[in-house]
Amino acid sequence: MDNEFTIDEQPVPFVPGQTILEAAKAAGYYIPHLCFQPDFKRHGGCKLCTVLVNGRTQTACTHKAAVGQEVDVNTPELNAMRRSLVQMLFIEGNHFCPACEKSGACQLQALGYEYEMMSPHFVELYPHREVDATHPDVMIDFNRCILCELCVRASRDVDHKEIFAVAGRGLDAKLIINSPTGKLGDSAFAVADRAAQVCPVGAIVIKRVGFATAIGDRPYDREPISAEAESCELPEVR
Amino acid sequence: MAIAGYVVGATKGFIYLRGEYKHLQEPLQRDIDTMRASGRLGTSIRGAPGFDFDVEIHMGAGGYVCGEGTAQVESLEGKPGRPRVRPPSMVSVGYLGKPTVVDNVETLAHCTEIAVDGGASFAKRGTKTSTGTKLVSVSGDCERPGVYEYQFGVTIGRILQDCGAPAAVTAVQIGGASGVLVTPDEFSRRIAFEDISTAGAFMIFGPDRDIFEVARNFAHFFAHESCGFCTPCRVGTAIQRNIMEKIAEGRGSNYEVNDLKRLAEFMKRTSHCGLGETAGNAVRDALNKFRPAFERRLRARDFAPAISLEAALEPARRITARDDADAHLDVEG
Amino acid sequence: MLNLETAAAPHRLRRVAIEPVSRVEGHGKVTILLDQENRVHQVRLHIVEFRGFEIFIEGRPYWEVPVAVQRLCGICPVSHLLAATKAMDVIAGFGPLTPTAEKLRRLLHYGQIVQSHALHFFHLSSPDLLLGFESEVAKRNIVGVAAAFPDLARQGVMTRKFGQEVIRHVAGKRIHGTGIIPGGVNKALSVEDRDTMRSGVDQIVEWSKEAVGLVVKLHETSPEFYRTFGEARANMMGLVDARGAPDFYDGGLRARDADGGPIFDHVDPASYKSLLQEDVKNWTYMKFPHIKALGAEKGWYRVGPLARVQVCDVLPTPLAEAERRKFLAAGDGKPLHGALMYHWARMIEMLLAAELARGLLDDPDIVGTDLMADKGPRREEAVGVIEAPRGTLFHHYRVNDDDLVAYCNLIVSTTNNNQAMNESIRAVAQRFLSGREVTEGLLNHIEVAIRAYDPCLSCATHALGEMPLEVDLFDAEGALVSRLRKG
Ligand code: SF4
Ligand code: SF4
Ligand code: FES
Repeated sequence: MDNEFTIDEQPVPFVPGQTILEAAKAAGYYIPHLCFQPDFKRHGGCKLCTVLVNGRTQTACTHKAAVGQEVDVNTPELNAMRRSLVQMLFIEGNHFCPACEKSGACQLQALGYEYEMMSPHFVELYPHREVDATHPDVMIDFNRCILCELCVRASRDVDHKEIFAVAGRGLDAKLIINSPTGKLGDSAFAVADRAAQVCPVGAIVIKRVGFATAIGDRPYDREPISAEAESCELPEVR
Repeated sequence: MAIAGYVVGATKGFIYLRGEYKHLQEPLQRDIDTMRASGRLGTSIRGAPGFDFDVEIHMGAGGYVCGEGTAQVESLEGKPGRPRVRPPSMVSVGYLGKPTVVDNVETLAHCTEIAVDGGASFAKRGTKTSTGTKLVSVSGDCERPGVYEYQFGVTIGRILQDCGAPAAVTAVQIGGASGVLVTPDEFSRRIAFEDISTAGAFMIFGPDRDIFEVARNFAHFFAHESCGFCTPCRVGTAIQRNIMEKIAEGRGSNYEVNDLKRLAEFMKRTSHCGLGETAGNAVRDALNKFRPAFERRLRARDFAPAISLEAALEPARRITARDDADAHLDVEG
Repeated sequence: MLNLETAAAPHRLRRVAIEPVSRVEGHGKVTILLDQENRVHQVRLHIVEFRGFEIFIEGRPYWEVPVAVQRLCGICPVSHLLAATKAMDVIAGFGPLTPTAEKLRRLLHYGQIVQSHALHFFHLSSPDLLLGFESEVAKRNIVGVAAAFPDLARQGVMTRKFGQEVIRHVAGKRIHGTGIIPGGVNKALSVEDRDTMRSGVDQIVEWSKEAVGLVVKLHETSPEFYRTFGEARANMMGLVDARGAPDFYDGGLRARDADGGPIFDHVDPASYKSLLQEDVKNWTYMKFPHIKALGAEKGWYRVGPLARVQVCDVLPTPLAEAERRKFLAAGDGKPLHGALMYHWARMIEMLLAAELARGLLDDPDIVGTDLMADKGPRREEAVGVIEAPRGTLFHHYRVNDDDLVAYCNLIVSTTNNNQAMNESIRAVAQRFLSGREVTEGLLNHIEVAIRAYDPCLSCATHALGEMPLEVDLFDAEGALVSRLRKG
């Protein structure tokens, strides 16, 4: 009984200090997430991992597991909320999945499928955003950035370069690049950086890879995102 | 503050002054200097050995969200004003990772009161569960706006009377943009934790005010003030504003009205901090209590498209360099 | 759709409000303008075309383009995929494709021609031809054909399915595959898949031959009518290989005039801009290309099956070549220009594509595993051209140093055929309009002419061949005197 809590009425063990998401993952229970990846500092901004802890909404990626907690994850109401979140992220940017090279390996898209998003529901914002292709090996398409700040964290905490930051408030919040010109090409960014590998969507992409893996053969074409409960890693194949 | 410092064993305090109040910086600094000179700040305050406490003014550039304790501490550290993830709470890990107490001036002032007159005297005022007094900052349509001090439990009607509000007030927004909208039939309600709790803002809307416009302003306010950290608030407040605009332009329908309600509930449940959690309140209250103000603007009852077809043809016209009459529609009413 | 009225007196005409639904569905719309004597003066086919795509693609990375283009046109995605990828092979700096890669691409393309031609003929056109232009609309569709000619309908459906299967095996999906990438292909063909296709292809060749036979029989019922219906004497253009045989996937541009005389030959498609000029008109968003040397008046041309079987010197497979000879005989040595001749030519091409596919399936290279070409330095500009089922398709790109598309120009088959289609409809209108009224008969005949060209309108490939169409008749003063619509 010690160090145990429940998820959807199933007992789940945890190690003190673990978040609900980490404990769930260790137990093979899927809780959706976008801004969480195991190697990086917690963020808690996307809210996809919203669960009910003893009846109150909490973000599972930041909320610590505790003895006796009753956590609800897979309820119609929570799933509807998650669908709304995904829809919001879709309309906030410009996501033209059919032509996006991340399609099939993109967590946002995969969550759209997972939560049965049949339409964007909200009116598209169609923001005007740029593509930064100034770097020889890596491109950023800001149209698809969901502000998860994984690249920010990877660059700061792993690569020790602090190439990315988020600036601006509200809808004006955007990813910026630390370089004299604000362009990626003038930064110290390198294709081998961890930050080049962490983007859960098609915003940071390695150039000229494109559709080397055919659509249909991609990770989320084969298995839904909820099947990745235990790894939580970005799928290997792009 | 010094008292608070003494109680928790802190030696350093900050006054976080919003940029808007820059004019207060000088007089405040003068007061601090005087206190230091008279031994009420600094080392061994009032001669008590080990009672060391000093205060520094921090000018904050942060917005509305910096009223939230953790965002304020972030801002104090020189970072963008964004609420932190809790736990850990401020009292264990706060400013620069140290235990921190964050309180507003009013609370600290009450501490002094209690320290001087004793708890019993303080508890005599107010109601059973809300003891003491409350500063109410009255603004809007009335003869005497200003800051009033009341015992907890005062009715809204009484405040309206005192400040010389017109007889036919449409509504009062209590607690600022995140607060509640109160209609005349509720004016007998009281300011108290057990009834309407507030940080003190009291905004009066006179007989000529259109509550839809009020709500629309609030919607703009939140879209502007959202810090952008979490999805529901960053995008939700923008959607709320856009829907309000669509209705304002006379292109709304019941569909939008229902969406506003859903949105308010959604933001409340999923947002990261109080700003997002309350960002839908003003609009929701207006909708619940002043529905006709919305309905009058609805174009269709069921559904109206969000795009204007005529406007949607503009890119096509631009590409083909056409602007003749045939390249326009005449259906838009 | 927009009511883009006649040039004579556009200001005096009432405009028709746009109907969102019909825009999405893609209504075809024809306006006929009469002269003082109530004779047909001018005819215009208004179609919604996807210009604007060029703007959309500018600023996007080049490797995204082949996938993006096929998504934007749902009607022949494979053609766009191939044309764009051919351009991007060059831009990305790839050398010549490996034999396996080129053969797989060709197989994909032939599969597409079989499926597209089969769809077009059996599903969309055979109801008109077999059941009669004026037969009951409700029955004039593939279901009606299936009731009256069950074997034929089944063969049509199966032939199309074969083409789709080829696409699926090579490109990964029946539509919108991503198997083709700059530099080659990203998936080898498995021996099992090859064997499956190989075992079915003989039957397809056989059925294609029967399909040609069917068209021939139809023509024999009324040769004069078939030869002259919607006749528009036009120049003709298509890609040919070194021998002068048509090449669907590659080759040089050749054009001949309406009498079969040479205009240009074996021109590198990359220099298309020196040959062709694209005009913009004030009543439609579609461009009107013409052969520069001949000028706008005389330079318009025809592409697609009817052009291809007549600009070439020979067809490279025996069965198809035999059929081509029969076809030419119908013109007594002179090129044929009737709209319905498209169907005959189309079925010959289907046979050709099936035979070519069979040849590739017998070629051991097709299951090779050397898929990607060697890569050299990146290049700035390229033109990718293929013969799509509906005719020549140009994709022209310039890509900047950052790998983003800086310039894009497309000429799609339907654009190439634009003027020719208008001329054919005019011929039909002149012949079948009597008085000042758009009759059911006229509408049906116009529809048959449009469909013969197989324009890439979504309406033309509408489910079960029901094409929403509106025909408006205006008098010399620009007043609408009659209108009829269906669908
Ligand atoms: S990033 Fe993901 S969601 Fe966005 S367009 Fe690409 S595949 Fe779609
Ligand atoms: S670029 Fe990618 S990793 Fe970085 S914030 Fe945007 S979505 Fe997240
Ligand atoms: S994964 Fe928990 S908030 Fe993003």
